[in-house]
Amino acid sequence: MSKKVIFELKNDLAELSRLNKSIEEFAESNHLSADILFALNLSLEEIVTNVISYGYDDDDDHKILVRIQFSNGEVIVEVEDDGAPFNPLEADEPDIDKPLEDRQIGGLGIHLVKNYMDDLEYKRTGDKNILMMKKKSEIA
Amino acid sequence: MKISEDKKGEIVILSLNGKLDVTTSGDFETKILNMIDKGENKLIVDCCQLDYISSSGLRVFIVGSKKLKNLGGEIVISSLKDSIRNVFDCVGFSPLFRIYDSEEEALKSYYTQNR
Repeated sequence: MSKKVIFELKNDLAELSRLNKSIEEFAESNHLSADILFALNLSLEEIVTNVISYGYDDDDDHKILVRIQFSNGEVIVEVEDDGAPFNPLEADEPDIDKPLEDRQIGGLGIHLVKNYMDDLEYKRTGDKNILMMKKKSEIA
Repeated sequence: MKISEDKKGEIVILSLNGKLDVTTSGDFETKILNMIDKGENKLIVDCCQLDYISSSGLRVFIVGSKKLKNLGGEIVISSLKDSIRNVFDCVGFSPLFRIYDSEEEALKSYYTQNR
């Protein structure tokens, strides 16, 4: 079981490349596959981007915490923010069968997270949103 | 992400190199808007060096495609890596675009189409 690694980000999209690098280092030190790394990068980008873009109605600095651990063949990621209450699991599903002219632009990010991660759990604790995401590694 | 641009006849070819994410997809969108400003509407996006795409990148494909179709053109895609194809499949994008295994085949498809 690996140590839990905690990354602290400011609510600034420019922080995503730093998070990305950290996730790559985590994946490398835990010998995770390229597919797992892709899923982690994608899911974290989508969730964190949503928090930064829509979570706050002020111009203040906010802290977003990303906790990640590899344990019993499973990657467990937690994103914690103090933005407005928002449960991504309750967001409307995009209609992915519509033709191009009718396709909506929104909603794809969360759809991707739901498909690329194995398990998702949301809770609101005090003034925090906490989203937990799990991904099983194929390697035993 | 680096985007290199080429033109073959009236077809613009944008080659994406690296990651298409929330911080880089704006550049991709700008390139498409620029080509529209120049009166061009036929685009091939070559993805053989595209390693990653998120919903921000997908958004540019949708918005760009709608704009070009309104002008009588379209986006044709070539050389998708498996990881990117999986993302396309996940959001139902694959049926929305003509996707080819190489830039050459994508080019040929433009020339042999009945318009």
